[in-house]
Amino acid sequence: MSDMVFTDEILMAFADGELDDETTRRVEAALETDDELMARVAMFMETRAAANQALKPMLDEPVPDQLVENVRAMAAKATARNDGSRAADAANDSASADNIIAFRRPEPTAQTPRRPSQLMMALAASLLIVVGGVGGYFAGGAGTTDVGSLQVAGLVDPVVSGILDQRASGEEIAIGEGRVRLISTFEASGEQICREYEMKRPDQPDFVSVACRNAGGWQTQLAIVTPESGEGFAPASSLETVDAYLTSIGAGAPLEAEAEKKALAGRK
Amino acid sequence: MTDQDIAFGERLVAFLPNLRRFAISLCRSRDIADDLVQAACEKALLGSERFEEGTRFDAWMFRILRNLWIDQLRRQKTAGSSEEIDAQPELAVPSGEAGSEARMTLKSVAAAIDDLVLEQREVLLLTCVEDLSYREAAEVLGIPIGTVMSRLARARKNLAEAAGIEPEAARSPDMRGGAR
Repeated sequence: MSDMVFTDEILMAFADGELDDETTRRVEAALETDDELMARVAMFMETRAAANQALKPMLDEPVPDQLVENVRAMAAKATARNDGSRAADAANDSASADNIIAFRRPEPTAQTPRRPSQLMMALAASLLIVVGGVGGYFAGGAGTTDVGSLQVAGLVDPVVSGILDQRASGEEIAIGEGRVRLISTFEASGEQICREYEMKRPDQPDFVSVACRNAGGWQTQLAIVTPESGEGFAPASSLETVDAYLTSIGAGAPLEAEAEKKALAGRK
Repeated sequence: MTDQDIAFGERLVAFLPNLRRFAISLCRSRDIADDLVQAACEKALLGSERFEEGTRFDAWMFRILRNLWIDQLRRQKTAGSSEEIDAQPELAVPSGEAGSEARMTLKSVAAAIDDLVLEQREVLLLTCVEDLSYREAAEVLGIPIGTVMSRLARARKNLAEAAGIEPEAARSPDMRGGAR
């Protein structure tokens, strides 16, 4: 938990991109270490998206012809009347339309709400774990994630490390009763080699992870617990999160098979 | 000036699907909604010169339509079909036993929005569905921005609960704290 208390209104404004810069920074900082806070933000993001989505089909409903005709007819009448005696009618018009109050010109900020960064949006959309480059940690969405020996201070488990060192992307390798699937290899910010992989294990949360190799070995950069989906690997929303993360670290395109082989063999 | 009038009429026609969606969600009846849309258009055409170019046309129209609807509600108060304007916001919040039952029979998002009290529904529609800012919604509804925010936060919590949108970890931080 963060030591700061954020009200629902603040977190909602953050999710809607309506928070001032200063408070946005405070929320973003707190989100890095507080997954419950992240879940509260996610609720506001998801309700917005869900409401928007649920009522979207109504826009495609045909407007009744009669209504369109009536509105056109009224518009034509208004045009004719205004042509006839615009000046003289002005007083009458305003009398009959006295309920209508013109809007003040909105401040520029009100017109273009700032959205939280793509990364924060994507992160909040799934229950997540962010693992720092130095001494990372797992903070499972459910608060109970036990990754056991797989993670020691951000270092990837030796068995998985070996797989990351040698096996090609696209391969799926069994580890005990679990499975690792290698997704891709790419270069991040310069020449550091990183790999994305998914892990499925019985009785433990599945996750998708990005690890990068440095002098000390493979270091976990990001891992996201994926919802219990029964079969298959990570669902799309988690992958979007990974994509957003990769973009944020300036990841290059996935390496082709040959280039991957070379890059992996290059330095251990 | 004639060109401008024609343009205004066409703009109105082009905006009809959105206006109608707002009206249907507001009064929860397609028949009433179409009458309401027509009345709002009439009013807008009569006061078209009051619309300030450069401001949001949609917000202006929503305000006209919503004011007409509130007037109508006030007049119909005895007719039986109307909804209390200031209905208790707690009405849609399941609690205790009722809460667990409600959670088992989750509603569709659309149905859950329909079940929100008017003051929560309208603020949700304007911001989350029609993409107005808090300030713009406050102007449409004629309420302070702080009230928009508190109603909107409650609306979304109720919606999340009724439709089962809430992420697991968010449901009860207090309970989790206690379980540790």
